[in-house]
Amino acid sequence: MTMPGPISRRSLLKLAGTIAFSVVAVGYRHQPAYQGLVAGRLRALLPHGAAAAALGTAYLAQVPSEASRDRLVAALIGSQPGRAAYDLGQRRLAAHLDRRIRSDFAEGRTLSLHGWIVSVTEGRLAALVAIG
Amino acid sequence: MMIDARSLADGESITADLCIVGAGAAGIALANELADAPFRTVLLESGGLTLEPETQRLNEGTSSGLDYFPLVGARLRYFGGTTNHWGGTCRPFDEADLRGTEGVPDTAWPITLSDLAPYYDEAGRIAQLDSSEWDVDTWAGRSRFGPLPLDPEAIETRVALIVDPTRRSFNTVYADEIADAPRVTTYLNANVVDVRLSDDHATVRDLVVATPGRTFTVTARRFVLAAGGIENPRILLASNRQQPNGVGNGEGLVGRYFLEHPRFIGGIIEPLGEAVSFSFYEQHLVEGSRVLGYLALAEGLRESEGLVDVQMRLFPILTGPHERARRSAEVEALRRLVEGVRGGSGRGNLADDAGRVLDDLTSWRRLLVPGGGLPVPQPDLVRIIAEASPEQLDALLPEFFGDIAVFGYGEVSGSPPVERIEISTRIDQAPNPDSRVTLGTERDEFGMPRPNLDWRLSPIDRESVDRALQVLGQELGRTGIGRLRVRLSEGEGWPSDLEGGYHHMGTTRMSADPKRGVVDADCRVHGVSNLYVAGSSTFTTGGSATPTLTLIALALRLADHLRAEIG
Repeated sequence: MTMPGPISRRSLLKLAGTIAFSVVAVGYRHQPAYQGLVAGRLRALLPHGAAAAALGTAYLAQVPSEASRDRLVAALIGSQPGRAAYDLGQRRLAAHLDRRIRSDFAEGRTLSLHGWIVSVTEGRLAALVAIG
Repeated sequence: MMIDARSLADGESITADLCIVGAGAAGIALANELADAPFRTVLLESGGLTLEPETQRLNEGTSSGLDYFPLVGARLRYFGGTTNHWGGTCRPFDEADLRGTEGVPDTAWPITLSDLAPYYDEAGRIAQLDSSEWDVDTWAGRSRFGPLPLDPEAIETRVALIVDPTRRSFNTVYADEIADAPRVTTYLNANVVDVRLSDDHATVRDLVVATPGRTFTVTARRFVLAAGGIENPRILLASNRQQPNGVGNGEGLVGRYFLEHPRFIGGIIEPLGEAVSFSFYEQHLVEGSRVLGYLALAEGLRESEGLVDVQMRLFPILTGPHERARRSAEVEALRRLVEGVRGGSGRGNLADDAGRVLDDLTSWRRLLVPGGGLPVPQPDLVRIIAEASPEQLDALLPEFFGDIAVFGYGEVSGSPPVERIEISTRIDQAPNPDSRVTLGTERDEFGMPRPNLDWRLSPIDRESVDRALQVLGQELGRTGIGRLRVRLSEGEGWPSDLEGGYHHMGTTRMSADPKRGVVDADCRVHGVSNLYVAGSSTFTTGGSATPTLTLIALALRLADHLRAEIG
């Protein structure tokens, strides 16, 4: 069966798998603009930028009210302040997101993007890539 | 005794206590069950003991609704009927099937599971099943594979049992037994063309039966139509000399509510991570039984949302060499050989198959130094294999170890690498009065109008599939097993690969209310006291399982009823 669409299965796997199993270590640096830095770290979780951007564009088409970097970062990190989120490090950030993703699926916070049933967190992460 | 009806004299009259029309699963089960009854049974079969193209052409008809298989090949017209190409999948209906779904009209049967349950074990024996165990946990405990760890309140796993291919045909299994039954007379090449009623139309007086060049009649105390979900309504509708709408059709319901189990590839699963085995969902042997797991939207969730049942079969697509090996000519040759050894029909050429299998099994010799007295590996070849990338290995594995070895490794290990899993969604379609069999304008060689099938589905069918896939997608995400991609987008029509399962059901549906069904809870045609229908045309709904086991159980229940009635 072929399912045409801009998101390949490999890209989707990267999106889902990288978040769940990311072990990339990023060095600690003091930076005041935490929102921007955390956004960068979140984007780094999705190395296949073009595919993620396509998925993110589809997400923003469904949820246009979230088309803001700061809003997406806040939604992804939840109640944690910017500095604390940055201090988490890449591995724990990925683990944090993985928990949110599973929780999304458990609570039914999912949506369909190009046919893929993804969690809202995955959609937001991709949207962050899409808005650059 | 079996008699070729072509040997009868024109105008001959045959008398029996019971006349069964159709020697398929239902008719044979009924005749077999009543073989020891103290009355005479006549079994009429349109075809002979083998498939004859001329007879098979009597199946021709037209379709005007959703695309459907050509009717000429969608059923078989010879002794054994459609069991002669049956897939052998069995599972009983459950309580919810018969209870119906609130909010989905016309889904409640007039019987409950307690009416059918006593007959399922015997139905299984007639169908040649090796077990009557249907509990998932029991099978999982015996199997080397297990079901996926999904929340059973969301997605449940069910098991079906598959009849051994060599024992599926009721022709192969029952022809001799029926022929030897002293009080059962089978007439082959006997085509019912008219059901004639008494003057008050309250009973069937006789059947007019045609065979090339002549007709004869059959008079009996009770008659059972067991000719299938398309022929049963066709015979009733075409018997319109005394009642313009046909027999049993006072409410215009004969032929309506045609049901199938529509199926198509609804999506794919991309597995995440490793160590999740999908093998329970492929046909596999457990203690001699062929077990097949499949997924379905959980009953509670389905009922609370007013949806119809949706079953999801999983078809793992393996990575490179494993997938090719599974579909290879060598593995297919091995399958045919095994089938032949086990007493099957032995399709193909035995010698060719044996040669192909031997050649494949000895392919490892290509690794050895040619002409050597001892099996010494060629160092260069060993190095090539050892240093190959995964992509290169794809080609090397079957070359040096053979497709059968690669296939066997996957089977034995139970965890061949899965690339993706295709999900075949199958729907217990909602009863739809506009989905129907009618009489067409063309006639067959006996002057019978050919059938026209107008197969239709309902919006709830599609909504149920969409919801089932969504819930499965959420469960796969929650458990981290994978991600699901739904194939059809919202509002998109039915896909081009939509097809049925050769399950023709509902066209003489069962209801206690004559305004809502053709037959009553005893399978008796409303308003015609000595006419019954057997087979899946009596189904009120298609159910969550394949129909054969249940139609046999219903036939056995009818046999009990007829035994008491005829005495």
